Amino acid sequence: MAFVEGTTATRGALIRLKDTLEFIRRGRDILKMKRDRLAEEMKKFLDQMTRREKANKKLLRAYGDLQSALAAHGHDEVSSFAISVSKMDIEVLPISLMGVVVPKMSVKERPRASSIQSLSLRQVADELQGSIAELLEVTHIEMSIERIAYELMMTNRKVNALEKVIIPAYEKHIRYIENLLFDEDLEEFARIKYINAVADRKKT
Amino acid sequence: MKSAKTIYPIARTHGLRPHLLEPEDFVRLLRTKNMVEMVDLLMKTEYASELSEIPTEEVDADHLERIFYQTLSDRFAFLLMITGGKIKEALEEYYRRIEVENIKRILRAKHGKEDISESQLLPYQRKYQKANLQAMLKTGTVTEAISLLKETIYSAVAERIDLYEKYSSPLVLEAHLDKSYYSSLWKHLRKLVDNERVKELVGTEIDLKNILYVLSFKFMKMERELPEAIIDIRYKLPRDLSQIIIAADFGAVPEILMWPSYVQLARKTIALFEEKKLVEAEQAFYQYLCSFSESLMLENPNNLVYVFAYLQLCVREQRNLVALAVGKQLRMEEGKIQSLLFL
Repeated sequence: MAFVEGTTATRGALIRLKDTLEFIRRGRDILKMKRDRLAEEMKKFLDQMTRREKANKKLLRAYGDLQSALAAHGHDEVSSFAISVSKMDIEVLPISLMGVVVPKMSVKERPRASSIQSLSLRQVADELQGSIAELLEVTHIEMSIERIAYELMMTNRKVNALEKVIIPAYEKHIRYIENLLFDEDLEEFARIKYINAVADRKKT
Repeated sequence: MKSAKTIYPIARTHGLRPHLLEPEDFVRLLRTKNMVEMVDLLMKTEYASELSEIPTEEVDADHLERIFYQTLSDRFAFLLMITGGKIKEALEEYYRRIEVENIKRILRAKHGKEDISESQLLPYQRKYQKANLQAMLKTGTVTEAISLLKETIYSAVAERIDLYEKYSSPLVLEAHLDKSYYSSLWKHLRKLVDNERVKELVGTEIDLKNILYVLSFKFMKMERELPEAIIDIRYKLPRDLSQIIIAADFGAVPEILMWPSYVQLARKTIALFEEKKLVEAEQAFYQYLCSFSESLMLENPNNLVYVFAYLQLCVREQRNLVALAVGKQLRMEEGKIQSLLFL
């Protein structure tokens, strides 16, 4: 036990060690609570992972329609309509989940496809916009899962380290000091007893 | 007895017609494995001289698209070169549709606050330009660009800047450009001798455009904006079309369109709209116009409509080739490309 060697086996040190152990135990409980909460959040996000497949399908359909529209109207004409449409305004907000910061992206302002004369191109523009909005949601979900999983792993490691290494070490150290102090007390008691016995003998 | 001025362009167009690609040529192009093979086949056509200038490794849909547009513009210009008098004036008006498209492209770019260069415009011979497109390209806003149209044939559009500000969409200006273009073309067609068949072709084109507007606006529930978009000329459609349509149900539109062929087309389109097959719905209109042009050519080989119908088929060829080039580049399925061709 590395940190046992540096400390003195005194009553003051014992009290300090007991206080620290209590603090560590409370820390471990809080970390456990955090771990449970993160696991709950993770489960919530994992349930939403089916949206990825839906978003993929939606995007593929939009891409297929875009291909048809490109072939029907030509790249030149489609580009000409595309530049008349305003750009998508996306807002990125950092959201904290038990201290895990995840960026949440949302469409602040959708492009106005009303400047497109062709109905088929307007439909493609709407489909693509919808797909991008959906993809942003899926990105948030996937990023949350990734970050929460990392934090969960780190929290678990901390809890394990506290439970399996640090707390047993402290407990062992406290026991060692307690034993040492008990031995010292016993020795002191025996010494006093001996002195008292010698003093009594001299009196008689 | 027709004058030599009328017979000459018709005779020349008869000579030009065999140079156009036939449906079986498009099918052969469709069956090619890739774009390089497609270009190899096109090397045996009128496009050979332009295509031979592109190195094989630089062949892509963009390059090809430019060549197809250039050939289309040249075909228009060639007919303008060999005609004179009122026929030339009418054909010049017909050719102006490319300039109108270019003005629309500039307005869209200005609306989107994006830069646009001359290379992004369709090839159009400068000597026929009515608007200063080069000056319009350099402007910063739609208002500035539109103000340059004040002293031109498009002055009526320049006066409708209030509409653009009201709707904040270049769509209303585009609709007015179409209106002004077709009104002027119609006026020039009236001056032609024996103009009935030509009016039938252009009138059908206008009617089809109006029906497509009507159905699109109705489908998008934008009926209130319809009177602004619809072209003022009615060929075989009721005069008060927009008022009737606004009040009617989407499904009742075919009954309002009195000409039997339009009714069939409208029914087919409504069904496609309801299935959300919007590309196919738009294609149906153009397919109808192409078939109509071909039938007019067959029935009237010695009429001036032959020249106008030939130009319509030139546009069809350009659209088919663009669909093939883009389809090949995007590696679309053969069946999907075929559904976009006008055969």
